[in-house]
Amino acid sequence: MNKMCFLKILCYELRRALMNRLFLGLLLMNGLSAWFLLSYDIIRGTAYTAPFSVWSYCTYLGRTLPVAAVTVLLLLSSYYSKKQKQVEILTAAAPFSPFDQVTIRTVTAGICFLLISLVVILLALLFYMRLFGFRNFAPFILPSVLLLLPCFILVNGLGQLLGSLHCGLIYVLMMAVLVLCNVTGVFDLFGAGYFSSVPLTLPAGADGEPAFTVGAGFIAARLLYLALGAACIYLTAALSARKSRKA
Amino acid sequence: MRLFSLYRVEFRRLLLSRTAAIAAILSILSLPLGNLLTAFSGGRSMSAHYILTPVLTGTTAGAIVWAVVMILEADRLQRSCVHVLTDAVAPPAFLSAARTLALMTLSAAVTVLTALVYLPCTASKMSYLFSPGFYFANFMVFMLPTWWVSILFADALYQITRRVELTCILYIALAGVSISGIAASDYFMRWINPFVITYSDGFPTIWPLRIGLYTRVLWLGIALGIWLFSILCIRRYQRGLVFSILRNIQKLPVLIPAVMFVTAGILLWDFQPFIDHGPDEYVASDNVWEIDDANRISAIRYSLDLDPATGTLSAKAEYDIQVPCRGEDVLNLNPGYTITKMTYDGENIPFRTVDSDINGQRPTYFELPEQLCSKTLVIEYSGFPTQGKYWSNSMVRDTIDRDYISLSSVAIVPILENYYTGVDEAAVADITIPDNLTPFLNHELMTDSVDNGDGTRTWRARCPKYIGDLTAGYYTVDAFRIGDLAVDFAYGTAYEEIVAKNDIQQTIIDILTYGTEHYGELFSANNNHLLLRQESAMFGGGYALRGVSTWFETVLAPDTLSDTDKGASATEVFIHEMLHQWWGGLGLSCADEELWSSEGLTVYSTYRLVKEKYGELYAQQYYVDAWKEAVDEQNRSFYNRHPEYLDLLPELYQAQIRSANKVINQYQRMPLMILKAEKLVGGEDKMDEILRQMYAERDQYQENDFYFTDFLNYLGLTEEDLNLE
Repeated sequence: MNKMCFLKILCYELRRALMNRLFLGLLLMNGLSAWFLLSYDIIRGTAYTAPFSVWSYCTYLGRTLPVAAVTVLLLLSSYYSKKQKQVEILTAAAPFSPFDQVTIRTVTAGICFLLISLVVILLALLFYMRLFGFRNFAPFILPSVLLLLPCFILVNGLGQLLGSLHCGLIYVLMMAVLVLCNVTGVFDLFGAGYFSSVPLTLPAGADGEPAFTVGAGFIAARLLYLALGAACIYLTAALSARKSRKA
Repeated sequence: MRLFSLYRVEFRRLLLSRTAAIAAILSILSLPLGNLLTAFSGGRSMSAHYILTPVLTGTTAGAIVWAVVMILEADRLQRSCVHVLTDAVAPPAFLSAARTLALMTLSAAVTVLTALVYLPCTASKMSYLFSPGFYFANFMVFMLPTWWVSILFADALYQITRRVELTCILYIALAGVSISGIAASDYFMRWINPFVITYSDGFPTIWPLRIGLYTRVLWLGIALGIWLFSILCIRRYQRGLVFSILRNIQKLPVLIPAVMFVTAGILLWDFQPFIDHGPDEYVASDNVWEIDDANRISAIRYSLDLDPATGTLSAKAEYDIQVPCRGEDVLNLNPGYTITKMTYDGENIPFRTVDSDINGQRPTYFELPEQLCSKTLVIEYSGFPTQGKYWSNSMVRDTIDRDYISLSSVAIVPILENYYTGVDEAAVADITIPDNLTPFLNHELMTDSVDNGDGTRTWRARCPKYIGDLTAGYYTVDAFRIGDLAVDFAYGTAYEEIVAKNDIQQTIIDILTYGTEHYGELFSANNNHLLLRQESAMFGGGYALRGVSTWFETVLAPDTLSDTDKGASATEVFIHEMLHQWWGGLGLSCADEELWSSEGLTVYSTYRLVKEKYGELYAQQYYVDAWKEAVDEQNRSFYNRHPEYLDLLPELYQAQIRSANKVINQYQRMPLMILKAEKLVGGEDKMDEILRQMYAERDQYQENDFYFTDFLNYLGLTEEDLNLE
C-alpha cells in the first residue's frame, strides 16, 4: 500500500474516531474527572509533598490513566464489534495488509489517547498556574513519557490482541484495568500507587521534600510493559495475516 | 387498559428472565459487603452495624445492578433488531412505560424479599435491641425509592441517547457526582448513596428516616420528570431525536407533568425543612454583648409542648419585663420555628424575621414601647427544628421523637440577649413530653411532674433565662457516692445488662478516685453532685460541663468494652471525658488556643491513668508513639512547611487544613510537650504535684482562663524548653 493510501485511510479512521459522540463524551468525562481529582485530592499534595511536586503530578497523571485506558479500550471495542466483523469481508478487500490495519488502529487509538492525555495535562498545568503561580513544568516531561507510553502500548496491544480473539474479552480487560488501579510497587501500570508511596520511604531534602527519583525496578517494569505491548501488537497483526491467508 | 395489559406481559416476562434473576440475587447478596469491607468499629452502634450499613450498601449496589438491567432491557428490542416490528404492534411509549413499571414492581418485590432474607439473622444478632418496624422502614425508605430512581434515570438516559455505552457513561457520571467528594456530607445531593451519620441503639430517633424519605421523594420527583421527558425522546419512524420529540409532543401530554415533577423536586430541595441555610462553618462573632442592667426581666415562664408524632414544638415564652430595651431589639430562634404571635401588655407588636441563618439561629427584630414598664412580653412560636448546617454532617442535635428528644439552645427557647435577670434561676419551665421518657433540663434530672392522663406528662423545673439543653429518653439513673461526692450515673435503659455485667460503676469509682488522688478533690458546682450521662450516638461525642460529664453511646457498647487491644479507643474516651471534670469545663478553665487547650492536659492525664491501668508498654504504643506519628506527619505536611501556600487555597480547604492542624496540636503535640515537661521537672510525681497545685488554684483563672504561659510559669520552664525536635 502506498503512503498516500495509508494516510487517507488513517485520516478517515481518525475522523471517524474523533468525530464520534462516544469519544467526545469520553473526552469530556476524562476532563471532568481530572478536574475533580485536582480540586479534591491533588490540591492537598501527595505524600506530604507540594501539590505541584513531580510526585503529586505523577500521582495525578497515574490516577487519570485508568479512565484514559478504558476510553482507548472502548474505541478499540468498536473495531472488533460484531457489526465491524460483519463488514470485515468488505474491508479485507481494501488494498492494505493486516500489519497496516493494526498500525492504523494503533495510531488512531494513540492519537485519541494523546489527545485525552493532553487535556488532562493541560488541566493540571492550568491548575498549577492559576492556584499556585507555578510554571516550572520542564521536570514533568520525562515522567509523563515514562507513564503514558508504556501504559498506552500495553493497553492498546492487549486490547487489540484480545479483541481479535473475541470482542467480549475487551470488556474483561476493562474490568482488569479497573482492578489494576490498586496495584502498587514497581509493577504499578498506572504509577499512581508507586508515586504516592515511594516518597514516604525517602529522606526529606533541604526543602523538606524528598528529591524526585524513579527506581531502576520501576523503569525496568515500564520497559517490560512496552515490550509486552509491542509483542501483542505484532501478534495481533500476525494472527490477522494468518486469518486472511486462510480466507 | 392497553398499558396495563402490556405491563402484565412485561412483568411475566421479567419474572422468567435470567438477567432479572441474576440482578435479584446480586442485589440480595450485596448487603453484607459493606460490613465485610469495613471491619466492625467500636464507634458504631449495633443498629448502624447490622441495619444501616447493610441497607445502605444494598441500596447503592442494587441501584447500579437494576440500572444495568434497565439499560439491557431497554436496548433488548433494538439489539435483536425487532423494534421495527414491536413498534408497529404497540405504541413505543406505552411499551417503554410498561417495561419500566414492570421492572420497578420486580425491584419492589426484591426489596421485600431482601428484608425477609436478612430478618432472622439481624433479629438474632441484635437481640432485644431489634425493632421489626425500624428494620423494615430502612428498606422501604432507603432501598426501594433509590432503586426506583436509578431505574428511571437509566431508562431516561437510554431513551434520550439510544446508545448503551453513552447511557452507561452518563449514568456513571450521574452516580459519580453522588459518590464523589463533592457530595460527601450532603443529605440532598447523594441520590444513589443516601447519607446517614449513624443510628443509636439506646436512644432511637427517626430523624434519619424522615430526611431519608424526604430526599428519596425529592429524587423520585426529579427522576420521574426526566423519565417523562425521555418518553418524548423515543425515536419515531427511525428518525432522529429532534424529529421524534416534535412528533411525540403532539401525541403525548407528558411535557407539562415532566416539568412539574422536576420543578417539584427542585422546590423540595430548596425549601427543605431539615437543615438551615446558614454557612458551612461556624461563624465566630466579634460582638461583645453589653447588657444594660436597666433592661431587666423579673420573671420568665416557658411552656413547651413537644409532639413526637410530627416532630414539632409548640411553645410560649412569657417575660415579665421591668424596663424594656430602647430601640429595636433582637431575639434568636431556631430557623425551623415560626413566631405565630408576639404581644406586649396584651397588645400585638410588629416583628420581622430575617432569613440570615448563622450558627443554627435566625434573628427576629421587634421594638417594645419604651413608656410601658413592668409588662409581659409573650412570644408564641412553633415548628419543626432544623439542624445547623455547620454541624448537620456530624450529628443530629435537635430532634423530637417518640423515644428520644434532644433540643439545644434556640431550638428550646428564644435567646433575648439584651436582658438581665439578676438571679440564676429566673424562669419556670413546663415541658410536656411522652410519659415514658426521663427528661434532663440543662443537664439536670427533672423530678417534678404531673401526669396528663393522655400518654403525656408535664415536667416543671426552675431554670435560667437561657436553656442550653433538653434531653429526654429511656434512661436508667443509678445514684451512688464516692466519699462526699454524690454521683448520678444516667445511661440508656437498653444498656442496663451491659452496665451490670461490666461493672461500669466500679470503673467510674476508679477514675474518680484516681483523679482525686492525683489532682485533688473534684470541684462540683452543685453541692458535690456529679451527673454522668450517656449521650445518643447521633450526638457525635462527649463533653464536660459544670458538674456534668457526658460521653457518646458506643462507649458502653459490648464490642467496645470487650476489646482491650484497640488502644486509645472509645472506652478510653470514657476516661477522657471523665477527666475533663478536672481539666476544662469548670475544673481548671483552660483557654482555647491553637496549641493550648484543656485537651492537652486531659489527653496527658488519660495516658497516665491508662499507663497505670494497662502498663507502660500499652501506653507507649497507643499514646506516645501515636502522638509522635501524628506530629511527624504534621511536620512533613507541605502546607505546614509552606503556610504561604495555604492562603492561596479555596477557603473550604484552608478551613479543613487549619482545623485538622488544630486537632493535632491540641490532642497530640501538646500532650507530647507535657510529657517532655514531665521529664524536665523531675518525673511523674513532681508533675502530679504541679498539676495538683494548678487545679487547687483554679479559681484564679475562672475569669481570664488558664493560658499556656500560666502553665509554663507553674512548670518554671519556657516555651523553647518544650519545643519538640
